[in-house]
Amino acid sequence: MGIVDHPGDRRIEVKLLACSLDNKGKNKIYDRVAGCLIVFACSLSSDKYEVDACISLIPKTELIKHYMRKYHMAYGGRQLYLEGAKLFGLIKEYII
Amino acid sequence: MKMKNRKISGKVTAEELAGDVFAAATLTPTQQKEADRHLAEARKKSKENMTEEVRGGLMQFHIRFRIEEYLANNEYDPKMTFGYFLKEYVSLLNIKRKEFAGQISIDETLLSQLINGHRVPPDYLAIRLEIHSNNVIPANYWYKLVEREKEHFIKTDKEIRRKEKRYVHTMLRANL
Repeated sequence: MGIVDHPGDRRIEVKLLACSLDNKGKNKIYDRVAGCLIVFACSLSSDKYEVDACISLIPKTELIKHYMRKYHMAYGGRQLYLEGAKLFGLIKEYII
Repeated sequence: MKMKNRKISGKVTAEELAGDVFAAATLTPTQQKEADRHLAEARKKSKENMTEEVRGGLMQFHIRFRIEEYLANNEYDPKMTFGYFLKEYVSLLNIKRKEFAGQISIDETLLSQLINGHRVPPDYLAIRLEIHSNNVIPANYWYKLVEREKEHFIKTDKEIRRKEKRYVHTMLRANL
C-alpha cells in the first residue's frame, strides 16, 4: 500500500493498493483485503487527525462508481474521499 | 457534488476492476491543484453537517487507535497509563465526571482515583468501558494498559526486590 500524508489538509491520500497473489481473483483465500487496507489508512488518519480524519484517492473514471458503492466514498471533484459519518461507518463495518 | 471533470485517462486492468488493486490516476500539477481545491470545498461543506454523535464516535476511534499504536510498540511510556486514556475518554464525552461515573455505575471517587492512578482498576471496569463505548474500545485494550504498567513495575522496581530478598532463604547457584 502506498499512502501520502497531507498534514496541511489533515488527510491521507491512498496512491496505491495491492492485495497479495493469494488474495486476488476468484480463488482468493481472504476476502475484503482491499477494504482492510483502506480502513488501515482510515485508522492512521483517525489516529493523527482526530475528528478531521479523512482519506482520499484519485481513481480512474471507470472505477469511481466501484469505490463509491463499495466504500461509500463521496465526490470531491476529481478525488473521492471519506470523512465524518462515512469514515466512521466504514471503520465500524470492518473493525467491530 | 456533480462530477463535471474530463475523463481521467489510464488503462484499467482486470485486477483494478475486481477491486484487488488500486493505482491512483496521474494528474498534471495544474489538475492536482484544482483537484485539491475542489476537495477542500467539498470537505468544508460536509464538515458543517457533522453531528455531535459522529464527532464523539470519531473521537472514540481516535482513542482506540492511539491505544493500539502504544500497545503495538513494546516500550513503556509513563504517560500512557490506564488513567490517562480514561481521562481522555471521559473528556471526549463532554459530560461531568459524576455523570459518567453514574453511567457505568461506579462511585465518582473511584473514577477520580483511577484517572489519577491511585487505584488499580478492577476487571469489571474494562468490561463496562467496552460496553459503554459500544465495543469501539475493547475490554482487553484497557486490560493491556494496566498490564503494561504492571510489567514495567515488575521489571524495574528495585525496592520490591530488596524487600522480597529477605523471604528467599536459599538461592540456586549455577555450577559453571
